[in-house]
Amino acid sequence: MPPVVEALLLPENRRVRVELAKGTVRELLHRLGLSVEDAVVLNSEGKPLLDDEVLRDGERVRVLRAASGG
Amino acid sequence: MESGSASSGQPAAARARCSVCGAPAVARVPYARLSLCPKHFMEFVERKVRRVLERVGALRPGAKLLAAVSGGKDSAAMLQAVVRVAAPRGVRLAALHLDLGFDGYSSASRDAAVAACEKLGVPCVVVRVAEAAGLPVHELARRVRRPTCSVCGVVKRYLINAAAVEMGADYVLMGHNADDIIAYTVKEFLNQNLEAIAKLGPATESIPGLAAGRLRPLYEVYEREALLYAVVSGVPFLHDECPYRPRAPIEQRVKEFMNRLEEEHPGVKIGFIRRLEKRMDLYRSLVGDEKPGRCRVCGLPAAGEECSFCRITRRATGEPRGTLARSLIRAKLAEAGLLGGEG
Repeated sequence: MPPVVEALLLPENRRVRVELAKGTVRELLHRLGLSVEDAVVLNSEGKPLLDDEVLRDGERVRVLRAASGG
Repeated sequence: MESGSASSGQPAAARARCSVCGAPAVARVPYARLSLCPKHFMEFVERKVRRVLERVGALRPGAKLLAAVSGGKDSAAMLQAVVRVAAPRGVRLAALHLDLGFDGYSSASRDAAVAACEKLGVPCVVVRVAEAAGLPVHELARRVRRPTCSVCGVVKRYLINAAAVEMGADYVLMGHNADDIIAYTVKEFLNQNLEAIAKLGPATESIPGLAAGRLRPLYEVYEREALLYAVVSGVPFLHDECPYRPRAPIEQRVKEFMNRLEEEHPGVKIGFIRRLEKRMDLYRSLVGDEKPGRCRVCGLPAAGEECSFCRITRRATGEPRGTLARSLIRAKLAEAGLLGGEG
């Protein structure tokens, strides 16, 4: 079964559920319309994830968009 | 549905290891062919910051630096990196935060900036724009019928420079990262405003008593690297967007395009920024030798008889506020022990 992850997009503070094929962080970002360079992805412990790390079904992550601010 | 067990985020193959020490990696730097643990990623960023500071002599003992801190990730990362790079060299560092008066956003930004300074042991002066300019930024903009971002830029540049001049700072430190500089450069190129690119090097020159040089410690640091550095260093920052930010600024679109390019062609951004710096003399040659004059009201730089800050505040409030703003800043710097030779 393809993994479904729950991503909290920041700073928009928008929560989305994304179904993935391979389940990598890179795939998640691409599915969100972002490039690997656009964001930092943190797991629920706040640890930054590498782009080829594989997310598990049901995993919650935070996606911090880099280009944000004043 | 909390996950985050020890197995969370496991790669398909072995977990990537730091190229330097073999500890678990949290950062990948494709253009340098490195995977890095938190410690070595921080050192990687700090080497870039050190190079910029060293090139302009900002790391000499007794140098006075004023960091402009918004509370966002860039200025937080910059402050953290500069503290680690400059403090052991006997550099004197202070911070300035401008409270723009945007209700909840500004108070959250101020709290983050003050928290970062407290954590890093950097004296911080907070100046409220509403006090210095008579009105918050958006209200000034409304009264002079100009875009909020345009007025915000004028007000911030003026107050930051005023503080640096009063303090006798060698440089103002700005949190512009490599992606910002690339986006500004492309935007100016699209407008064929090539003279403006001359101001987009890692540092601008000082004019004694009139204008402090601006220095960009994050000049070679990607925006994503600045964010990751802020995260792994644990420095407090606010990850939010200004309520007056335009919906689709050109700079944002350029950043998105460049990031897609960087993902497919690692190193395209760092190559651009390094070549841009080498070509600065070419862009400077397009700018005349004419030095700015002094504002007849406040004595700080002006293109005509009156500086933009005095002109905007006169139109918005009925009186030019440059002299008042300088007095307010001087009082706040004195209170913090940062005036003239004190700091």
